[in-house]
Amino acid sequence: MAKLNPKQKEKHAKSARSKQVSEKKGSGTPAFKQLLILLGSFIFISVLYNEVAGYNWVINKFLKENLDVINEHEDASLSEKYRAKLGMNYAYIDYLVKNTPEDAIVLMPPKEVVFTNDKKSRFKYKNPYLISRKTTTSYFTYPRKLVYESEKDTNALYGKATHVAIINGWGYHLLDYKTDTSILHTVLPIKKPITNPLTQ
Amino acid sequence: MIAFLGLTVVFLAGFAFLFLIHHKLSFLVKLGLAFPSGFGILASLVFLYGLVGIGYTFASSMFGMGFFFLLFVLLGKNKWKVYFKEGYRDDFAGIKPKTIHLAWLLFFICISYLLYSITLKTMYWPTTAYDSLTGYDYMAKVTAAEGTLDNSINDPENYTFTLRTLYPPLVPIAFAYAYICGLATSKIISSLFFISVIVSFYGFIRYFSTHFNAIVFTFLLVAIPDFLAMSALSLSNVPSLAYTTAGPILMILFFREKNTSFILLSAFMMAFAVFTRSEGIVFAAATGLVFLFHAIPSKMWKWIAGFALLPFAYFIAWELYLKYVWELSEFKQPFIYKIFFDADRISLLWNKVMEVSFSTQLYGISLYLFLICVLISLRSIFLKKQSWELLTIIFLSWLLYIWLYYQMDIFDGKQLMAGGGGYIASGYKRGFFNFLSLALLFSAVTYPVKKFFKWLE
Repeated sequence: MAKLNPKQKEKHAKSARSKQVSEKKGSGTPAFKQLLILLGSFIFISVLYNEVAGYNWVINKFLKENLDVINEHEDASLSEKYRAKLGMNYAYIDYLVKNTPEDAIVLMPPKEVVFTNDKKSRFKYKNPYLISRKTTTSYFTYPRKLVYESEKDTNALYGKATHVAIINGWGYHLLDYKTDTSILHTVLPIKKPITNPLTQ
Repeated sequence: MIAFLGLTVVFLAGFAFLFLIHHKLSFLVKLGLAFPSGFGILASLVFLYGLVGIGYTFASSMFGMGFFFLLFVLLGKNKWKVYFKEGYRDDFAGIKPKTIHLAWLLFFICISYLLYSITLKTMYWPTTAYDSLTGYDYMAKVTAAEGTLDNSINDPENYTFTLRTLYPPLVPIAFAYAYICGLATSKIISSLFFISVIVSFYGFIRYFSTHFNAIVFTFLLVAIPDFLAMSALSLSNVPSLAYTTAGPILMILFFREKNTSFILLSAFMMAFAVFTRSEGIVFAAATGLVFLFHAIPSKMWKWIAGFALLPFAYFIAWELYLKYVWELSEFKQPFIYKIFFDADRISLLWNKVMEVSFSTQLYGISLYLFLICVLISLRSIFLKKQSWELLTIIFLSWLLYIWLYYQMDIFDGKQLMAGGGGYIASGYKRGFFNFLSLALLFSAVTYPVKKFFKWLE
């Protein structure tokens, strides 16, 4: 292929462009033919929809079910939407975020405590690994830092933790003070908060 | 309002960039590639900002993108003059059909319904996909909050990165832009990329064939079940698709029109693809190899070097960033860096790949349609040498893509390791629709199909 000079380039471009706009010159498709093509197209789309499982899933399940939920809960807040998707795991993390300062270092319980084998726990392990994995949970708790019980001997932050995530009653033993231990899920500061006598 | 302003600047910078390189690019393609190009420029800018210590904030990004927009407009001012004088006529003639085709309208309505529904779903639900929570969107959130890619995710005291946060930065930077513009979620970016893919795909087919052909195949692309499902998530696959479709097709347009501006555009799209997902390199390599067939006889050394260097520079820039700025080069995908032959591995991988690729549940009829179109076009491919370049790019990049999985340390003898199946069932599955868009485009523009649609007109 030899290099093209500007005139040849322009000729090529014109020829390509004339192909792109060729529909300008036609006299249009006759009405009867149009109707036949329309009918053919309709049959084609119907066959795809009825005979190919994937397309049927898109319309009837994937989109329809979502649109139904969206129409039903049009005014849901961001937090409500997260809760609908992520359940109890999100509800707890949302509570944790609202009840800790941004510079908190939160001690998280071991997985076995949160996701018990007896299926009594209201937390779901793969949802999507929220609470059970540091990275997924950090997405919601950022800029708070999380340190897991399993990191006790490997992460220096463990000793600097300011709060404990109390889940399924676990974590009260890590507090420096005595408190009501009947609440199953909460988040508390490790050191007893100093109360200002003037505000009491 | 701030978000609208921010996104408009990205769009305008992308549009001006495309216009500067090739002002005769069809209007639909310019429209479709404006956002992907704008985000590619933004990612390059923010990456450079990070290297010289400038923060990624609303002001700095607006300043940078505004500067680029003005620069592109000024550099291309003569082209704008010509365009407003007469060029726009071609653009509008390319969009407007002579008569309204009823069947075209039917497909248009179907596409509009799918587009509306999926955009509504995307915008309604916040990010909950695991890969996004631990990767792209988490990175985006922290980058936006701290104003830099080199942020506390990589805090040695408390690492919270995963392999997903080590992916190239274009998508996290684009998602972070949504947060920087004050939006509560980054989902709008996913929608913009999805719409961009559809518009540019239609525009590309229009280069080769009629409106009706373009709308039918655009419908077949939009309706791919897994493509629709993925487009609603904050993942990098749909953004990647915008670039990996545009790059090869722009090169095909160079072969057709002999205008070297297409090579430059193709190189930029491939570079942005590599900056989106590292596997974008397989498309750049396949496109580059086919380009060599044309370029070597013409001694286009400068263009060969340019096409090779641009994507490679983006690839290397990110690898060096991981190594020297994040100092995380030891954290990588489980990849085996030596060439070897393992028949068991090939057999197992092939079976898994075939199982996924031919699933109509995931991809509808697109692959079957493509294979039929290849069969009916064999005569024109071999005798008239039509469409062989695109077909070669598709097969070559697909084989390279499978080879990447072959090189992964996810096999244990004759079976996949625990977790290894996820790489095929999830990673390969999501990446495969990058090939399907090219496959559908091939199907649309191959000689017998074009002839059929011409007859329908």
